[in-house]
Amino acid sequence: MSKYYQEEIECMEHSKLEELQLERLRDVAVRCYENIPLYKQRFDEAGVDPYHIESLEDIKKFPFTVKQDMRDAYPFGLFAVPRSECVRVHASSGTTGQATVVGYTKDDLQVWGDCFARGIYMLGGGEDSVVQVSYGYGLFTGGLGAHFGAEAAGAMVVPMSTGNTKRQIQIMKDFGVTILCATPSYALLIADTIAEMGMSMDEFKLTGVILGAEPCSESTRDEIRRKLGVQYCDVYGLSEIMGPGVAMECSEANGLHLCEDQFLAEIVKPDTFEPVPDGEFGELVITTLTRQCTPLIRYRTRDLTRFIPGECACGRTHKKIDRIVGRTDDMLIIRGVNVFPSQIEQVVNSFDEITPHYQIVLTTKGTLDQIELRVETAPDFPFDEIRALEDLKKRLAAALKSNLQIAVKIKFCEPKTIERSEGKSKRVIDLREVKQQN
Amino acid sequence: MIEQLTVFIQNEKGRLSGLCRTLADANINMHDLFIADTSDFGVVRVFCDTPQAAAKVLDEAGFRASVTKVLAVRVPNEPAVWPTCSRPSNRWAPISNTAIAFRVERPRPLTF
Repeated sequence: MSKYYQEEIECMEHSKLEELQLERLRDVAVRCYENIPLYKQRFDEAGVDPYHIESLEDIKKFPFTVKQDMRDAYPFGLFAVPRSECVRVHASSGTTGQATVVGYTKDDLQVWGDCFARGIYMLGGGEDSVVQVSYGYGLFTGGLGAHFGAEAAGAMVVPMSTGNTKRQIQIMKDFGVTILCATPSYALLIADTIAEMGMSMDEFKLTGVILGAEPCSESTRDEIRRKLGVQYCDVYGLSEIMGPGVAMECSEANGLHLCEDQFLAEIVKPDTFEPVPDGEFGELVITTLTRQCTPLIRYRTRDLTRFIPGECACGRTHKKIDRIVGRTDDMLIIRGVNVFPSQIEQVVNSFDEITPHYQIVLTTKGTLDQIELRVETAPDFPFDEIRALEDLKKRLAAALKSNLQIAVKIKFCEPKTIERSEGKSKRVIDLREVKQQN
Repeated sequence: MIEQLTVFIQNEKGRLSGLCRTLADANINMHDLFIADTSDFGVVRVFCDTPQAAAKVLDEAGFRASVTKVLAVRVPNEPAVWPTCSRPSNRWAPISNTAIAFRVERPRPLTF
């Protein structure tokens, strides 16, 4: 069995891939202009000519599309094909506003299945795999996306959907499931329940998990890998763009290969929309290159990631993105450096000597932003020794410096002086004179 | 070995007096109090009559307090005693860097 699902595409020379992208970009720009009134109006306003795209660089002249545009077009205002050609719809939950609806033609579904199937192969799967889909089925893209992806790969699909964890585990064991698709938190619950039921992973044939649809820190990823003892494939996707499978993580476990034949990705500074240099974090912007029913030009995902520079040892040539470190809504810009509370959280969680509660305080000193991290020592920490405290402070500051690229002042606080809150908002106190523009 | 009460406090106005007030309200008598301070926090070390009870009271009041066993050495109140105690050849040397307090129990009368 081949290592790749679509070797000729996945391992295509990058210059050839760019030619393919350019050809497809020209096509999608025209399709949007001719079939979607919003795009005709936007392109005309911006003075861009969709009939004369010279290079991939020209994408920068095009206006962005944002989630509100999709809400305003509810339900079918952004369809580029007659209703009769649309064979499926999915929608976001709409919990943060009007739901966003996307449609798929037969070809769109084929492409989606292929993209996800590449991930099945990244886990060493294929025709012999038994794939349990424990994502919710329905308007949410997770369940059906993974389902058709696994079918495209030729695997046997066990369409479990969510819930009834003990039954999930029983089936997983009885059917010899080799690949589990779920959210990271559900995978962790499954792992813990397996242990509670007194079972061992030796009783299962599981070799890999495809996890996505919610943020997951590096420490949680490690915990899942350790508890299930299998390869972890991070899957990225969003319903507006397609669903799960836009990018998936290969066995090198260092970034997700973005399906560049289908999507043209840019990473921009969330405040200025200027492109960031390769390797720096910013907002992921995606143009769908082949999508027929709901093509999107420069869709701002609000997801923060970076391109991982360099070639991948797995042989795939498609660019890799890092795991999603946060949303633009959470991002802080400190001394011009983009910092995400999730990065700080990761460092805090890696120190057993301090509690997981923390607070970030931003101030201005002269013209410079100052960042202070307030933490509490763990109850059993030997705080009687000043040296031990100073040493902990030094190690914590060094870990933060290497992770964030900026110096962070550490302040040890008395117990329970840091507010315990569910949300992230109170974790950051911004006392700077000039607030960031976001 | 004697028991020492250790309390972590932020280097902020009112924290030390809050600590003393909490002990006073619990009717705990302090014999000594000394502070090792840094720019943002201090470690307060207290000798009192009931260190375990004091730690409990402070813990309940939201302080980070613990009881640490420390070595107490009684030395004569005379010149040149301490250098003798902490001399490298002396068996106390390993602990000499963490010596933290001196208490003069019977001050020598000052003579003019």
